[in-house]
Amino acid sequence: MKRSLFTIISLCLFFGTIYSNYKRQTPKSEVDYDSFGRIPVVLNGRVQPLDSVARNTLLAINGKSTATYQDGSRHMAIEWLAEVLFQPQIAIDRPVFRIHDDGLKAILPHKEPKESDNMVKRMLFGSGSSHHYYSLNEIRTVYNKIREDAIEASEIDSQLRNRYQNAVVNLANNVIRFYNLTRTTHHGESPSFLEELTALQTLIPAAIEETQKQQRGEEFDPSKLSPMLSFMQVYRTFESEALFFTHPMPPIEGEQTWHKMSSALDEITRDGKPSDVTVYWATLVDSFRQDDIDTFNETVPKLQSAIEDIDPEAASKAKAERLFNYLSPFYVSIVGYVIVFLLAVFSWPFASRGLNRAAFWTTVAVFAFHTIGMGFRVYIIDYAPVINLYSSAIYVGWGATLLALIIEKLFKNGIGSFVASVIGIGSLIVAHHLIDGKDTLEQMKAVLDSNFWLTVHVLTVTFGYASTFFAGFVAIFYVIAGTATKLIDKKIGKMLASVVFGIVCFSTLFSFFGTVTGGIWADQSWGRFWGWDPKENGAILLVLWNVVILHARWGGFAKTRGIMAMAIFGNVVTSWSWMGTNMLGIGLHSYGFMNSAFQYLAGFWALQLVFILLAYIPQNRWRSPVNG
Amino acid sequence: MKPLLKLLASLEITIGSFVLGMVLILFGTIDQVNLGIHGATEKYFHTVFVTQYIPSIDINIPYMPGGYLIGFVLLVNMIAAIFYRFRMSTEKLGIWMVHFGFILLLLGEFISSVFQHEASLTINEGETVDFTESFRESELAIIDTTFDDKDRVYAIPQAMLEREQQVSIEELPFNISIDEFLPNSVMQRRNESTPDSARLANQGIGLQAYAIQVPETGKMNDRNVPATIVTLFSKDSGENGSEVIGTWLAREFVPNQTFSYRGRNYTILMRREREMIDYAVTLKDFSHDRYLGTNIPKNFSSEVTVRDKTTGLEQDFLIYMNNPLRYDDLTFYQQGFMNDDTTTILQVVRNPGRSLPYISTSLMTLGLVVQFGFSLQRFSKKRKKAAA
Repeated sequence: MKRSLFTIISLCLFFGTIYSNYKRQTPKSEVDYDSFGRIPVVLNGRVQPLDSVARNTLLAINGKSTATYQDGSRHMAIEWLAEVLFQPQIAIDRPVFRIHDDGLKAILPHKEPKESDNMVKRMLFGSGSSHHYYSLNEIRTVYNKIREDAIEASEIDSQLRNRYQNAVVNLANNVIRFYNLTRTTHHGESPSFLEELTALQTLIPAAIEETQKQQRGEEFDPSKLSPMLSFMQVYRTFESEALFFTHPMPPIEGEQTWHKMSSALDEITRDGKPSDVTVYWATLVDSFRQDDIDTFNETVPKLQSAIEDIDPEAASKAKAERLFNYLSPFYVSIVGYVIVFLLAVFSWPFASRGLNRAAFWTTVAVFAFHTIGMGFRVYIIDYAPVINLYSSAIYVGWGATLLALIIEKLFKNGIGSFVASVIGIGSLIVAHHLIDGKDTLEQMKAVLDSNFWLTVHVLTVTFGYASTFFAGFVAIFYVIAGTATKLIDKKIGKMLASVVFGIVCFSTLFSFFGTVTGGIWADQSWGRFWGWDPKENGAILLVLWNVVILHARWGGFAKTRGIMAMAIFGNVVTSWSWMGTNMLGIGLHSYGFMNSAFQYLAGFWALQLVFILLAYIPQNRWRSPVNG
Repeated sequence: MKPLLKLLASLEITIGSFVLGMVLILFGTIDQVNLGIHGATEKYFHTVFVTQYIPSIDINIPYMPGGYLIGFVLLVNMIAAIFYRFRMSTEKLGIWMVHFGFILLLLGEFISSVFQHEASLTINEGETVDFTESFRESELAIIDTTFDDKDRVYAIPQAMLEREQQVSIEELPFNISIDEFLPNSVMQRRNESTPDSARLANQGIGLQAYAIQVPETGKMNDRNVPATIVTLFSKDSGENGSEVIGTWLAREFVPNQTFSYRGRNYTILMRREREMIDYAVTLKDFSHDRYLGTNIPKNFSSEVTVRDKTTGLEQDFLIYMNNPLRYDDLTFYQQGFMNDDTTTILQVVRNPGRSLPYISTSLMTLGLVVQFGFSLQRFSKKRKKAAA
């Protein structure tokens, strides 16, 4: 019991974090936003729950997944979305548009920098925060200017735009997105959606009769036709403005398709009767406007089951995605890795077996949770775990942790857990920054749409990245612990050297196999095995560097220290092939171009060079007795 | 002999070549931003030396070993090492496989770089095409259209145009003098300020417009549009020299220019270099699916019929992303589309060394697995010993 005490405490801490995060993500309100967020719709070509629509949209507009209103109250994304969809006239006063660019601030109405009420924050970030929040109403006063500038800027290649131009295009897009949301479930031209439906239904029989008369060439009464025509006119314009698809259609030959609200309304003029889904949406619109919480809460499950009857798969995927949002596995995993980090660090000075065990078992738990997160993504979009740079970062952290667990199982000295935690924290933070206001569960472009090759090629080559990073970080550990502490004796030094060598062998195999399968995929898709594309070149660089390390060791050119220094340089090579090649903005691997962030990459490289220099401090100056 | 072998087989050469190879690949990647993928490949990889042209002394200075040289040195180094250092034993089986596979890989890449031929096949829906068009090379075609049932085409490839010499074709009653060839060009309208040097053409489109040279591009989505100025003159010389028929400006994307000479009608034009193939490909349908409510392409596919000209055999195929058509020694890939999804662009590749990378890399992968498998076994034996 005693030796498991730390393990139990740290596991409780981790599971407590999972639970409290889940609670925090659940909306607390009389209105049943919780169930509302589960309603499936189609946006960006994929089924997703309203909760995801809310989060992704708000993230793009606001930079956060919660909104702070005029009165300072904080609201969940789904609450904000409901207001935008159903009561736009209120939502347009919510200050949710985050403006960072000074050029934009100069155009917009002046706002005093908000005094930060927190002393510590004020000291850390200066007295005023550097970005301001505007409401659509405030932006509207100068929207003409913004629109003109945005149109002008959008003609420039996005890489050549200056800061203001990027900001103005971004803002204009967000304003359009906001406006489109307000026109998604109802056009807002009539006060009550349900009354509109009733009115439409009473008009239709007469109108259809007149149309038939007209078609037969008989005399007809245009006054009976025109009300229906004016309805149809409204519906047609709002078709192109709606952001997402609300109505699943019964599958035709196994093909499931969805319609927008406008098409569903248009169909009433043919069928004479609105579908259940339409009626429930209309009820939601009206009851929300009238503050009729009971009706709203009663209607949400009805809408859910009406959709579920037509497209059960969409409903279950949307449910899973909402649960995934609430769990936020990758955010929580960062916390988990921090716990592991602390446990591992403190296990050394106290030489505590208990802390060591705790670190190992917490790593296992975090790894499991990390895996669950990736499993959710796979289930939700039916693709292999790596489909873009974001998911590759998540996978790199996962792969490195897997290796660390194996190493830790073999050597049981906390070093594996420690390195896992460092790579885990690093890669998940990188992943978080790669989101960049986009939906990370995107659909694959045609050329990449092959789960077989995604699995065989992308997963292996990315695992090659993960293992090279793992070797590199073990080497960094060796250098730092060796120069600054007394942890590394001859035995541990030898052990670390064999770990690094083993992992380099491993990553040679994986990066080679990954590169080769990439070549085969290219041969299958484009007709050539090798085309010197930037990403291909990056992968081969990684293979070559691993091969250099292996030959240097076999030839006796590099001993422990040399191998360590070369493994650290492996981090530079890997980060180049992983991220750097995508910053060139050319080539066939167009799934993840990024043009900023180069300075971070350069900083990472500089840091690696510092570690390499550190490794070459004469070893009698090292604090650790590395030579016994 | 032995010392030489030792030198050739040295690991220093191996590591040196690998590091130089890495530097080369890095440069060859970064320079793609300027040169495009094709330009960079030619400059860095498919060459013995990477050279820089120095205009003032008009020579190319080599400053870095190119892909061919590094590959060759590695090849020699490895073969020497096999004779000098490698021992036959089951333990070394993995090493043998990896290195033998690597030799094949290098040879395969060399063969591909020399013999691989890529062209494209552009077909409108309902149309039948039996020729491929080059991606980069153009040709000057003079077509005898006198007879309704059959055109006779005389084509001068770009390599000949670049020499800017006189071309004589036996069946044509006139000689063709290539006065000027611009590898990449844009068109300008002629007006008062047009320099005299741009007023050479005295026929057809050349009366209204002229071409100016612009820098060549190697970018993926960009093509050079060459232009040429040609003078045609009769083969038999009279008293005042031979009769000049006229001077034309020819460039792609200009309307066809026609003329008559001695009772025959001709069309003169520049176009992408064509190669006839032994099959006629008919596009029945092209489809382009997108994800609902987005512009993200979900799939492109071309429904084609291929008719073998010699046997008359007809077969239907569906070509789509990640599923090319392999026919005879050609491979047809879905590359692109045009004209509102009614025209398909297929890439046609002929690569005699196609199977080599498959063989070599399988061998190397297996070799790595075997070699590291042995290492792992040794490692766990050692651990067991240490634990015992």
